Amino acid sequence: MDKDFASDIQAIQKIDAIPSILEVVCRTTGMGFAAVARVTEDRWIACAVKDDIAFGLKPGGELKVETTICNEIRQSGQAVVIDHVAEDQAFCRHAAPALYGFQSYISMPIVRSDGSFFGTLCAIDPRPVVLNTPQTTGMFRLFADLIAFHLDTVDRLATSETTLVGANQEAELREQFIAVLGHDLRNPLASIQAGTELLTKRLRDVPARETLRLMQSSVWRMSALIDDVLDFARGRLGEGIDLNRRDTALAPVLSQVVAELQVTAPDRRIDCDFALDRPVWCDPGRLAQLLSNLLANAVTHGHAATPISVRARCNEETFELVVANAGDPIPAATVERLFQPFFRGDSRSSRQGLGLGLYIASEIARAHGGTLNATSSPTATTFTLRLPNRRGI
Amino acid sequence: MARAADNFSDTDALHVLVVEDEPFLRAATVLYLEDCGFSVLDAANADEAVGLLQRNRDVGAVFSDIQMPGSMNGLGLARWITETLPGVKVLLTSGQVLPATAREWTLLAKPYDMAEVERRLREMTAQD
Repeated sequence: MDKDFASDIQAIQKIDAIPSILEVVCRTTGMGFAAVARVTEDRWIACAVKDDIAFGLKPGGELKVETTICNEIRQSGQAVVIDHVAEDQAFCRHAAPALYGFQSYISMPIVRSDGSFFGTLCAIDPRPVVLNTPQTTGMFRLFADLIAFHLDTVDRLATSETTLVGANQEAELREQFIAVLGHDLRNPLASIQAGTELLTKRLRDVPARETLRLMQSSVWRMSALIDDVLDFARGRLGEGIDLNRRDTALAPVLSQVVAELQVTAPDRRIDCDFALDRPVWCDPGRLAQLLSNLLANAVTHGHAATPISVRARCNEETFELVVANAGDPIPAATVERLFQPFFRGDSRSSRQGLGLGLYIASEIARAHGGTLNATSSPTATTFTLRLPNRRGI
Repeated sequence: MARAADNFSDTDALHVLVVEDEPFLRAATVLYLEDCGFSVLDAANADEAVGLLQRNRDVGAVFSDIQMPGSMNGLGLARWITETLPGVKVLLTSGQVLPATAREWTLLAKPYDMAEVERRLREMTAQD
């Protein structure tokens, strides 16, 4: 038997109501054999069977389609009901009753919602039975429709399961890609870093040591770029940036970020105003990264002579972080594009970086269920982060 | 690239085993740690590391990569060491986001600062 019919039999077997339907059909009519059959142009295959008359068919069993009345039902789309073959003008000379030894026969087409013919719900018995009543034909019609409806449901379920498996495999592949990328990019960088440190330890030549120092700063810059690209890949291709949230005393975390930035920009003044009287429900590492990106942006684009201000507030509902710098106002159209990946405002300046800092900052805000907004006026450019400060969000 | 000897030459120094499959990174790390005064053995994978640890009972700390070929990775090696040689300290490194199962051990992200590796190894082995 070819594969398609195996799946048809399986689909019918998956419908829990089928044995009850066949039971009810036999009991109410008094007939000894009932079946759900898959009927095609050239095959008649039993998918489910109730056999009290030792007819001898089991699920998967096959009859020659041309010897059955079901084949005519497939062509006409109409039910066939015979109370008593011997007295039925249309069927008394038909080959099927003689071949299979029945006197009563009823068969109802099972038609899918797309109009395609699946097969029949049929019953036979060696004795005559009064079947041609609205109650009996109505019951068969109802059951045939019910089977068609269930088949559609089984199909829809299978389709959505396949889609789900596909989505899972895709997600797995993405994570694998990100993992391999991380490993293969960072390993050679680790080699260069270890090598330059070794040489720095052994070399006394001052210009050579300065070259090694510059190589090391390139390694760290490259490493930061790889981190950014992987975060971008996770945000864009993967499940988004993953968080490890906990109740955090955030002021020391923010102060640490400011102190680190101050090392690379010692001549810039950064005014901090942190009023955080309670823990913040967040991923501290990610919030540090977010502030670091905002500060790097303020250092690059802000007026050097004016301080950058960092302000943090929280209550039991919200955490708010505001980073502001004085600088040339950003046109409204540009403000809208600031959080797009790979956006670099002024291409004339020789800035380092991929233009992912603000995008990643906004992704971190999004992962926390919060928002990151930018406004720009002649007096200041301001970035405002707002996060819900409640567990379970 | 020359590989370190199969046994430690200096008996007084702190004995460290470096496990890393990337040859150049392994060599540079070994030389740097030797310059720091450690006595260093090295292995290219976890299986090799297990063999060396079984023959050299004076290893005080293992600095191992996580993602390596062989019958087990660095996490498997760390688990084996914790169960079999509980006195040996483990410092792990990886180029990937570190799995939650690794949180049991101290971890350094790649690329690592060699001075930081030295500091961690001294700290860990000084705890006893």
